[in-house]
Amino acid sequence: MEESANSINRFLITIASFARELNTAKDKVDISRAIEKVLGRFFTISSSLTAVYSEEEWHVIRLEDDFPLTKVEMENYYDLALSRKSPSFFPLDDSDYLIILPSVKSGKVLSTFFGYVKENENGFTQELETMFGFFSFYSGIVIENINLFEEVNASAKVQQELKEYFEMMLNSLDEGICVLDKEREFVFKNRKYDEINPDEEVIEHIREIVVNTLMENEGQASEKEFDEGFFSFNSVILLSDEQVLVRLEDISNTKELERMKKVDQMKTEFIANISHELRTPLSAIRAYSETINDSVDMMDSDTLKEFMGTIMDQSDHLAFLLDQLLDFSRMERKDLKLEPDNFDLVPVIRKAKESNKEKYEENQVEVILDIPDEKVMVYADEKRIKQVMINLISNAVKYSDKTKEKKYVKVQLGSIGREVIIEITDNGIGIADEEHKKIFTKFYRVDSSLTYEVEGTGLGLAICQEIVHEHGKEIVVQSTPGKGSSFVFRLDKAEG
Amino acid sequence: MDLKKTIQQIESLPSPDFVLQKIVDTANNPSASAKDLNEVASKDPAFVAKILKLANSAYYGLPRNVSKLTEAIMILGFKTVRNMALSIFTNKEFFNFESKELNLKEFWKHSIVVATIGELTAEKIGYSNKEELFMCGLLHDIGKSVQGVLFPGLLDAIVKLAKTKKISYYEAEKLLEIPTHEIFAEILVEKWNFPELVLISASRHHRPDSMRNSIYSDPVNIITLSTFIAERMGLGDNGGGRHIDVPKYCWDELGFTPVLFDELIASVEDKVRKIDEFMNIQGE
Repeated sequence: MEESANSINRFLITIASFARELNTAKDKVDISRAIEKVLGRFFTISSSLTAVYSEEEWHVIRLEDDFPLTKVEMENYYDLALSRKSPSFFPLDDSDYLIILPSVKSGKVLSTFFGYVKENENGFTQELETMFGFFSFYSGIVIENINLFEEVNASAKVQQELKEYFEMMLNSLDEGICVLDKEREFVFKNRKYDEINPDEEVIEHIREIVVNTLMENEGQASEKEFDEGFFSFNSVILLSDEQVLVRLEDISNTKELERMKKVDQMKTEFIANISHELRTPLSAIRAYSETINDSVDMMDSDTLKEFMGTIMDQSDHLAFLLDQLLDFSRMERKDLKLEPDNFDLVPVIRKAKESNKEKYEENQVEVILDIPDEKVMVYADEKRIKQVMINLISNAVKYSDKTKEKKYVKVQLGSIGREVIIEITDNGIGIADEEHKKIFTKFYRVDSSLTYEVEGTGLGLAICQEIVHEHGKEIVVQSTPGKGSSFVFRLDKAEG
Repeated sequence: MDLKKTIQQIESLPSPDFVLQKIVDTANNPSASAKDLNEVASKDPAFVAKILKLANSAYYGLPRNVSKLTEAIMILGFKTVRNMALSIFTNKEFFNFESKELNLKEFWKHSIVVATIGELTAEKIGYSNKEELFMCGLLHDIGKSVQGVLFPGLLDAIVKLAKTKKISYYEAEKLLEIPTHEIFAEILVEKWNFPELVLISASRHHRPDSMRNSIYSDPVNIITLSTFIAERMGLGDNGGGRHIDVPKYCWDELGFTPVLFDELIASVEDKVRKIDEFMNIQGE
């Protein structure tokens, strides 16, 4: 009984040392060294060989000194290690022995240590058999763990390479790409995104897109203009609702090109239009003056006066058109200088109505002036404001609705704080919502065609808006197609 | 059935002789050296010859012939040599009785197969004491042999009932209200003074739950499973009419997975092809 207690102690001490050796083992070669070291406590190992069996072949991973058995001789022992899966102490010639110690896990031989030894005095005991059995078993577990660790490392490396590969692809794209998580935090940005370096406004928009994409559970596409430029956005849901990829492209150049093309087209129309506009009065003037020239002797003074009146009217109109062109060219050169002063708005409005008299009578439009009798003093450029009023009334008359029985244009004056409000309302054909902004664009005409149904240069409203802008104000339009429109702008009241 | 008389009768059954006893002892004695057995071996050359014949069989697949017991011990280990010696002894003394209902050759095959599956299972699931499982498997049904040797009519009655009613041998024993083979085994193994592990697996393999929280839980679970696998694979005959019940926890506690199980079955099929020498263990 005492002997068996001693044996258990020896067993535990040996195992403790072996476990300690394996604790620092990093690979199969380290484990082979640990096995050699622990076996060396019982036998003198003259040389050793450690081999791993994988893919139906043995691979020698460690060879110490001159291992006496040839590769062919080893074949049998390799087979034995594979089939027995237990340690063996194999007598060779003379007093030489081969220790075969396979490392086994779940019935699989992961590595085998072959030690070439001389028989020791005690020989082979049952205690050694038990210990070797444990070494075989324990080293198998450690190798399995090392294998798993290496596999995890290898797969992590593959993943890293894959990640770099995809990042390279994403970085080569000419579109900015970013990925945000559910909390709207960025988890990925490609190189182009960093180059675009979107400002807070754009980033906020991207976050909105992420929220909408997740809410509607489908990719969104949009375009939006920012101070920084014109961007297009496309979103895709990633990782089953966990993340959203947003693709953004700076399409400012594309948009600018579109705009320039549009302007170019409008300019072409404008030239055709203005030629027509200029030719009409010029033809009239020419026809009347020719008639006078040919038959001045036969004309009575009334006819002559009437003819001359027409020529004067047409000259005025021609002058008006040329003035408008001139204003436009000044506007283009940013050379529209104001000469502001205090003046009474009431007579200016009356004069503006008077200027359009012929036109509203011809179109059977009633121009109602809902303005006070007393003075309404403002601080502005009188000549320019008159021009604006003439234009706005002229437009309202021009675009009256022929189908309505009672057609009217109403001019109203109001006052808020330090400002006077001027409102020109009509019951004309109205302007569609999408046109509201465009009507103030130079050359723009709502019908946008060369029908000449309505005369005009297409510059009127652009000039009006520019003039009001120069006063630091804005013309606001409200309109319902088929019902009518209202143009409103404000001017500063005269001081004192 | 007079239990006292029965016990006396069991006492009269053959015990391992000196050589076998010595081999069994050395397998449990840490300081025993292979050389110690040389002298013992010379006392029963016929027995040693049978051992060497087994050692050189395809079952162990040694690269060259082994001609000495000490060599067999060094190469195969004390415990494996002990297993061979025990196989020779039990086959001779306990699978040699008269039976009308049970084919003894198939019954022997069952014992060797359960022993083989036990050892392979231990290997597969990483239970390091695998040679002991061969011994446990070999002796797990020794109680039936005791019944057969002492009361051939009793064994035949149990087998006939089990096969007719398609119930297990154990269920048939319960139905007949006679002491089970587990009890017979317990008495015999105790008399032999064999390791407790053998006693437990021979007397508890139908009731693995009774050992569930003991240090013998793993080996008993392994033997229960090995019996089940041998029955399902149709390897040998243990006198039952249907396969035994295996509690689900036996699989779970041993950490079996479908992959592990498939691998085990493959290695069992491979090893069972090499048991010829065990089937003809006494020689011609």
